[in-house]
Parts: sequence; C-alpha cells; structure tokens
Amino acid sequence: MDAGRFRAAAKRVWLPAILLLAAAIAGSIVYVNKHILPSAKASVAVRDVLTVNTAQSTAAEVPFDSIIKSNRLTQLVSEQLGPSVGKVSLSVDVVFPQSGINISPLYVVHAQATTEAKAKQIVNAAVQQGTLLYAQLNSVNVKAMTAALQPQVDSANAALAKATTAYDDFVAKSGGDQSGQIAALDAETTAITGQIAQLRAGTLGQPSSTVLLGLQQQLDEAQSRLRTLQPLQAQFEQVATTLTDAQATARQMQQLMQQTFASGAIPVADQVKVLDLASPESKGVMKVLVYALGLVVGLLAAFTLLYVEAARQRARTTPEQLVTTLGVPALARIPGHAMVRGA
Amino acid sequence: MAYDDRDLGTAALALGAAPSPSHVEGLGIPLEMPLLGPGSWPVTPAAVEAFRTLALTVDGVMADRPLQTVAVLSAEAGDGRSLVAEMLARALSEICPPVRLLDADPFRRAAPTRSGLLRRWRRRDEVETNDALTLERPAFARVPLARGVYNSQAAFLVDVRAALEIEAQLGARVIVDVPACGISSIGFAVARLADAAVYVVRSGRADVARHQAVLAQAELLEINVLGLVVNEG
Repeated sequence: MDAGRFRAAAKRVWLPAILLLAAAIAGSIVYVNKHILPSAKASVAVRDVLTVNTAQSTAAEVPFDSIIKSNRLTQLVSEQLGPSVGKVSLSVDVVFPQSGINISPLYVVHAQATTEAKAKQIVNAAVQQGTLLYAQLNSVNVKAMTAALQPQVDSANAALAKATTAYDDFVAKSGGDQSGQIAALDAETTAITGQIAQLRAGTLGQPSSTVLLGLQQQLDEAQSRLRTLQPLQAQFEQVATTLTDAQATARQMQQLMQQTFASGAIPVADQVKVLDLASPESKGVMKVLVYALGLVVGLLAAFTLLYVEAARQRARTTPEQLVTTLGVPALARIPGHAMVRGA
Repeated sequence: MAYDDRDLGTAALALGAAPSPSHVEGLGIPLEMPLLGPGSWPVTPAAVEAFRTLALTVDGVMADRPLQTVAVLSAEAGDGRSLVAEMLARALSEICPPVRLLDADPFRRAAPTRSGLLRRWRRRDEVETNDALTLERPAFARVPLARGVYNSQAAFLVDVRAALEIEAQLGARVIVDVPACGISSIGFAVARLADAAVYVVRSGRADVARHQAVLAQAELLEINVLGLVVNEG
C-alpha cells in the first residue's frame, strides 16, 4: 500500500484515528492514577529458620515472605493503623544472597497507599506485625518436644543400666577381658609345637623320650586352657558391645534433650533484623513506561484504522463506481478470467 | 494460421488496396469466418466479444475524427494494459485493417502469469505476424522497437514518433502499448504522440485516488482520453 492511498485514508478518517490515539493515552493516564499509587518499601533480613533452630525440629517453618503475603497480616496491620490508611496492599520480594554460606534471604516489603506517608506507615506496621507473627509461628514448643522425647530417653537409660549390670556381673564371674591370656596361650602352644617338631626331626640331636613326653604334656595343658577361655571371651565381647551401644544411644538422647531446651531458649523474634525502615519508592520510570505504552498502542490503533480504511476503500470499488467516480465514459468491460490458460 | 479469421482477404487488404465487397460480406457469414475463441485467441469468447465491442466503439470515434493512433494507458502494472492493447488491435484489424500494435514499453520484463500466457501465445503466432514490412501488409502486425538500446527517453520517443509516422504514411491504424503511467512518465509522453487514448482500469481493487490523479494529469497534458476499459478480471 503506497503513501498516497494512506494519505487519502488519513484525510477521511483522521478524526477517529486521533480519537483512538487520545483514548489510548487517556487510558494510560487513568491506569497510572489508579494503579501506580505512591508506595514505600523496607528491607528485612531474617535468619533462616533451620539455622535458628539448632535442634532442626519438625515444628512448622513459616517463611517471612509467606507471612507478609498472608491475609492475617493484612488484617493485623489494618487493625493497628485503623481505617484512615485505606486499603492495605502488601507485597514482598525475596532476595537470596550470592554467598553460599549464609542462606538467610533478604525480604523487601512493599506497600501502596494513596499517599507516601500512608504507604510508609503500612510498611512499618507490616514489618512490626510480621516479626511478631513470625516469632509466634516459628517458636519451638519445648514442653511438647520434651514430653515426646522423654519416653525415648528413659528407654535408652534403662537399656544402658541393664547392659552395665550384665557387664559387671560377667567381669565378676569370669574375670573380664581374657584376650591377653588367650594370646599368650596361643604363643605358648606354637612354641611347644615347634620344639617337638625339631626334636622329632633330629635337628637338636637324639631326642629323649622323657623330654618329648614332657613337652607333649605342656602342649596338652595349654590347649586345654585355650578351649576353656575362648568361649568366655566371645561372651565377654558380646556383653561389651551391648554396653557400648546402650551408652551411645543414651548419650544421643541426652544431646537431643539439651538441644530442645536450647531452641526454646533462643528468642525467634530477634532473628528478624530490619535493615532499612520504610522509605518512599520512585515510580517515575514505571509511569513513563506506561505513558509510552499508551502512546504506542494508540499509534498502532490509529495506523491500523488508517490501513483498514485504505484497504477497504480500495476493495469496494465496483465498475459502476469507477465510472461514476472517474467521470470518464466506459468504452468496454472486459469480463473476469478473460485469459485462457494454455492458449 | 493461428487464427482463421485473420485470413479475411489478407492479400486484398495489403497496402493501398481497399477491401473487396466479397470480403465485407464475408465478415458477416459464419461459415466463411469462424468465430474467434479458445485456440485462436488467448481469451474467452465473452472477452473476445467485449474486445470486438470496444473495437467498434473506437472505430466509430475514429471515423468521425482524423484519428490514426490510439494509446492504451493505465495507472499501474497489472491492470491488463498489454492484453487490452493486443486484443483491441486484433479486433480492430477485423473491421478496419490494417492495424499495427506498437509495443512502446521499454520496461517490459519477465512478467506475471497472465502476461506470460500472452507472450507464449505471441511466440506461437510470431512466425506469421511479426514482420510488419511484409509486402502483403497483413491486417494485423506487431511493430517492435529496439528494446533496451536507448540511452535516453528522448531517443526512445524519437523512435516511437518515427514508427508512428511510418505507419501513418502506410495508412495503418496503430494501437500503442505504453508503460504504466504510475511507473514511468514515458506513458504520458507516448500518449501525447497519439491521437487519442483509452484508459484501462482494473475494478474490484482499484485505487480510485490514483486513477483520478493519472486522469487529471492526462487532461493537463491534453491527452484525448476516449474512455475507460474496465477490466473485471
């Protein structure tokens, strides 16, 4: 479509095109005034719940951003500030630090209101109420936790006492660890067996039957004692292992109880640190963008109207209209599809 | 012969010779002169009749005035200008031979489908019709110009003027196919050399404003536009 036809269409529909453009710009102005309200923001650092709670309890973990987004907080803020602030509208951005060591995120709380002062009020109230709510929702119930853990601790302690008694009884009856004595007897039988073998081989001269008989008796005695001690040693090792396991379980339960008490002692609310108090947010760029968008949409709509008008004008010309419009007599009308294909 | 009707006493209608009564009578006798249609013309029978009507109209206008040359104008490429020029020349050659078609469009290129069909048909017919200087002076012939060898528009117009003068001296009427006026001023310049012009306009998607501008320009240049040929294709 050439410029001439476009200009002709513009002459015909310039008013609707300008009205479309004006409507789009007016729409953007209305949008800015209605939706891009004065706003404020505050930055809040919150130590991660799992970091705070050393016991890594299974208690519900409620992140700070969920609290900011909750209707409950909106209600609390409204109650705190009263109806004069108008509608409370809160939002939050979560920024995770680049450092891999500190996993606690930074929360940026936003609020919109009819004035900047009201927006700041809402943000500060939201941070205050949000901190309280966070502490309330994430604090550890020590009493319930200890009540749940106590039967396990008692069971571990009972098992430890039983294992200790069994160990003490065994030591009193059987003399405790026999591993040293068994090792000495093993060495003795090995030495006697070696001597007997040498005598029989004649390497120590003509063997005396008396000597051989004596060595054989010593060997029999050592082996007899070994056969007595080895089962006792096996029993001892079993008792000792049971005692060790019971001690470990009891120690573990003890640590768990200590951590639970420690978690209850940490004030959760202190983990919420306000870095920046509420301050006004600049919406200038956003407003300019919306105005620009309105302008672009308006121009697009206006040019589309011109294009459609130009195309429509071109499409609707009938032979009769042509003759009438051009003011020149028609000498002939060549019917459609005049050419014969393959002629 | 590519189309039988062209043989209505070609020899008798040679330069200087007037049509004999028998030939004139033959024009109205279907048995002696088969109707034009597919296989002989590249257009439908309805279009053939439309071109014959156009030829009658143009002939009627030309009979009242000393008109020998008619240019075929249009605003844009694709309006059907070359088809109208060719068919008008052929139809006119049936009733008032001899007629020549002067192709005064130096910009003709590899063309869209319809022009391609027309060209192919012309090639088939070329052996018998392309020699305008034949001694027998056929009723219809094409007068080609040396396309693409002109250094200036003036040189081209000199050639066109010379061709028109030669044909006028030989007593032939000339239909001149010119470039689209929206593309080149040669269209207007050649039309000024002609005695009259017909203006081809394609209906349906016509750009009225553009046609009005071209016709206004033609009026300014004192080009005698006889009327519109509305191409409904």
